[in-house]
Amino acid sequence: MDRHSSANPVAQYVLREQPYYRAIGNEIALYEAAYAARMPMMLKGPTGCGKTRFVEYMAWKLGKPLITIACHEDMTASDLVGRHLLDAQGTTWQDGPLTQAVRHGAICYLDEIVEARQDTTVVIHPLTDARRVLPLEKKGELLQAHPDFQIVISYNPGYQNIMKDLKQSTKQRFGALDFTWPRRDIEAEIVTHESGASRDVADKLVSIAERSRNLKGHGLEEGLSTRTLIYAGQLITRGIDPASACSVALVRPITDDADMRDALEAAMQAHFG
Amino acid sequence: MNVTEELEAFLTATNHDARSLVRTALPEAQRTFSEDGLRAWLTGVKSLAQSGVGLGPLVSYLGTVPATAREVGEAQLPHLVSTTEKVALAAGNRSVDAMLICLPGLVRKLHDAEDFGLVLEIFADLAHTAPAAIEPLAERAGQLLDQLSAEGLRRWVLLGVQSHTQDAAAQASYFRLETTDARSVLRAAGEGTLFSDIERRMSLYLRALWGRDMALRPNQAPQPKKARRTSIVEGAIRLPQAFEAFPGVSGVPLYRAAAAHAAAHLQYSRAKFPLRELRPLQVALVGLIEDARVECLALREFPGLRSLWRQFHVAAPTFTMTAVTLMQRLARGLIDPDYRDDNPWVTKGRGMFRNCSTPGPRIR
Repeated sequence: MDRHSSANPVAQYVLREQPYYRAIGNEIALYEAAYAARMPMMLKGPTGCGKTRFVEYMAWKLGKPLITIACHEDMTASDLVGRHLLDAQGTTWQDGPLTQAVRHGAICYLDEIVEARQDTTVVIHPLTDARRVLPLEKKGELLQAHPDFQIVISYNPGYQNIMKDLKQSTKQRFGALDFTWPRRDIEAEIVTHESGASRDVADKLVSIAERSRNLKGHGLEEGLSTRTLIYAGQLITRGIDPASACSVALVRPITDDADMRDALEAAMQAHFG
Repeated sequence: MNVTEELEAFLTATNHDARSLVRTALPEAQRTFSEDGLRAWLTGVKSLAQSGVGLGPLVSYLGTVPATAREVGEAQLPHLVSTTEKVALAAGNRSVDAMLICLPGLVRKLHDAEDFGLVLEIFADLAHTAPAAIEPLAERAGQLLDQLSAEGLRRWVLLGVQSHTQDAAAQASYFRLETTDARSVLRAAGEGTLFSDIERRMSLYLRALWGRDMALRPNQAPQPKKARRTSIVEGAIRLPQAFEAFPGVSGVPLYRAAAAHAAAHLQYSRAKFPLRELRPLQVALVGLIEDARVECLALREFPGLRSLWRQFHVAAPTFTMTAVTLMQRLARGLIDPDYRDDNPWVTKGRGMFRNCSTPGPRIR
């Protein structure tokens, strides 16, 4: 018995409410064109800059279900494709999230794809060219992708090294959208909207983030993300003093280096008079 | 009237006891001082003899001033004499006596004449603000200068005065080092922070603020007084090899304040102001205004720097009206909007700076 035979199992992945997304450029139009061509897409950019929110927004705008898979190094091809399970009636096939998306026409979003092992990710190759098929070898099925299916991956170039990168043969199967930190006024607008903080506080938080981004490659792997600014703004909105809020949401998570913490704390204090 | 005639006129006019004391001390004074120095020395003698504080301070003056002047140079004599007059007038004979007696021991612990001038200012200010503190301070000053620079001593004294304005007994205890806060402030002040301890974090801090690398270098050690200054040499910020703590503040914020200030100069100072035609006092004033200008610009971007810088501006309206103290008061007035100072020169300076600080102060 195939469990996928029940009424559309991916309906639960349709977003009911519009996610907030503030466009930075023409990424919405580009994505819509890419989706129309069912082009596999790669969203590149630093952590917390809005890649996931963007794909959620696009799924909502296009009215398509979105299945998100957080990739990790212990993930196997079976975790993506599916496996046979034993139950009282015998053996049953359980579609994995990728297979569900392929079969029922969802957007499948593989978040932080390079976290998965390369032998795992090759399973997506037949889905990313003209064939648009997913071989289910264990089940003996060659699954043709639903017309609505699209695969999207996210990729943070800042984290990569030679041991942990996408193969060229994978990269060149995708169109890519570059994401970066929004312009300061847009980022402040996002922080204000998402955290409820005042514009003045949001402006300061964005300025602090810009300072931290000055330290990328000088002791920090990555600057502060928009997401962390939203966390700080949320704490401030709930009555926490800015210094404590920034310490908790911005400085402590990003580094354990005592000198770096001191520098960031002091730079943060320089913003709040 | 030359100095010999002036001296004879004084000896003729003064009473027997004073005349006898001065005649005894005269040979050493004549061996020690030039004619100008002798005249300054005589001014102090006359002032004490006529001040009504008794013979005790005169004895101390005659016995200690030549030795003190040999250490710091007779150019300091006018300042010493004027301080003696102020202390005698405002604080009485015991205070001026104690101050004069402690001076020869103190000068050996000071780096230069500038430090000596600072110590004299401390006594002169105390005569006005806390005269009862002079005697205990004079007794402990040598011990204090074993652990503090003259600048550190000034801060320690200031904290004692500010902390005990309503309680003279507690204030006296502070200056006798009998209170916990006096000892803890002194201990903290003795625990300096080294450049090597803060170099990386300051470098990261400046890069975070201004988005560019600013080279930090330690000053060389041999000139202790100058080595405590921050400067910019060939684009690099030179910081002291060590900073003693400020009362209530560790050396780290002091380094941070100094580094951020120097970085503000690197960021906002442009063409060098032509100084050739200016007198030393004018040069100092131009420097003060330029300091305030770059800090004003930095504060527009980083308002939190105000609290970092403001804590080190401790000048306050005092009895002493030297150019240095007035300029320190103006400097504080330019960074600290809450600072109240009714001195007309300070008020005028603040007003002029405020008027040209919008939209952007610029020295042409």
